[in-house]
Amino acid sequence: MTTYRRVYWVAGTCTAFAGVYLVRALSLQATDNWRFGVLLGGYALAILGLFVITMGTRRKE
Amino acid sequence: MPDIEFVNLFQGIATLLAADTSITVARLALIALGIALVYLGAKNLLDPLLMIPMGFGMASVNAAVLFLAGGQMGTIFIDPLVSNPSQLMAVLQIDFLQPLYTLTFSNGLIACFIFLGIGVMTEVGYVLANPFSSMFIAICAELGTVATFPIAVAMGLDYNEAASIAMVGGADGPMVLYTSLMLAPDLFVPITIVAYLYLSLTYGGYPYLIKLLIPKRLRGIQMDLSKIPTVTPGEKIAFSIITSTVLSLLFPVAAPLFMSFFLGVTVREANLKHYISFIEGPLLYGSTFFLGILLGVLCEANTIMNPKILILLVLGILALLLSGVGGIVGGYVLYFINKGKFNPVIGIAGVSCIPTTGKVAQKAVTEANPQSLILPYAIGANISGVITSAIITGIYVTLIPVLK
Repeated sequence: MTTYRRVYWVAGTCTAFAGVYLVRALSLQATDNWRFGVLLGGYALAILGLFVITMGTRRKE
Repeated sequence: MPDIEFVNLFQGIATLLAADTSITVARLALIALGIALVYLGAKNLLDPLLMIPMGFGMASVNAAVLFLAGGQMGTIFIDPLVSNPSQLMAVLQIDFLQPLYTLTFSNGLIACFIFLGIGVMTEVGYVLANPFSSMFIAICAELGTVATFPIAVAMGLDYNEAASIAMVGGADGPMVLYTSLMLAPDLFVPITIVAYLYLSLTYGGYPYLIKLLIPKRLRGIQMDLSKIPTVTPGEKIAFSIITSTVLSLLFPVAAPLFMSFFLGVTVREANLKHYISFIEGPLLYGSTFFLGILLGVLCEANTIMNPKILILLVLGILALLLSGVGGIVGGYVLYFINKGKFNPVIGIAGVSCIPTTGKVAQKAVTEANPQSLILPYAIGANISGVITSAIITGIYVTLIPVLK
């Protein structure tokens, strides 16, 4: 795997788990006004992370 | 000579005469429907793997009603409504299909087995090769799953029931089974039966939808297969384990489905030949066979007679229709974005009935242009459809109880 692809993998995985952190941890501590936004942002970030990984795999070497 | 009522020697007939007219009519209709399903399955007009055992079970269970202790009518096949543990222990020793139902069906295990089999047969590389088009189409093809929910609520179903019947739009039997078990256990029998009956119709119905919405000129568009990059097995395994972990962390209630599917993908990519032949052979076919029998046997008139069944029938077909239309609209959007170089028929493959809708798409394209090959793109959309359906299952089973 090239460094170029590895960057996508690491960035994507970190982004996805950051999303999980928002959903499973931060949203529980957020106030009622912010909870829905944090949840939605977390889900979006997690899915975005998976997309970033696929962007790396589709690159031709 | 003793006074014998000959009709009582044949309890199947005696119970027909003793029951309410509505139940008698329903039993006769379900026997006829069961025989019809076996015939249509044997003729390959409906999916024979599911329809033959299902039709057989349906006809048999409605014929085999007898008088039980206390003068009640019932069968010795299955009792899906028993919940008291001591009653359940008694029923497990009498009803011959009850162990299968209790230990594999009502806890969702059989759905997970089928998902494991689907995972083993899935080439996840097609998604990784075209993630944007595949996922975009799959999201569009969830139109029925999302739009049917408010319609169902407007028609009088509660949130749990509405979410369960809306999942029919995902065209994924195990997902519907799982969602209805989690959210609407009282209605999961009719919902699952409606779902599987309609899913077997996608093979016959969607080609007409494609011909109605896409002109022949566009159906024949050729796709450029040289653009598909190679994805290594290691990347597919890494993607599977990360995606499964992330999705399980986000939606723990749907984690058994995620784990089963991506474990199947990983077994395939790790080339574990003994596991592959076991999962895609005995496990998958065995699960499908017993699922068919159980679904058929659950179609007993007393169980399925529910005032909501008509609403479920309407909503089920609406959900599938909306998802098909949504997928094709997604295909058209990509057709315009790619300036005419994307075949909009691929859109129908976003409906996650894997691999049926992928095959339907390729068949429709081949009829219009025998040189055109779209299957790799269609299967990519198909697999993305499974992933988006699983995500929506997770969202429904996680958020609907909170909404209450």
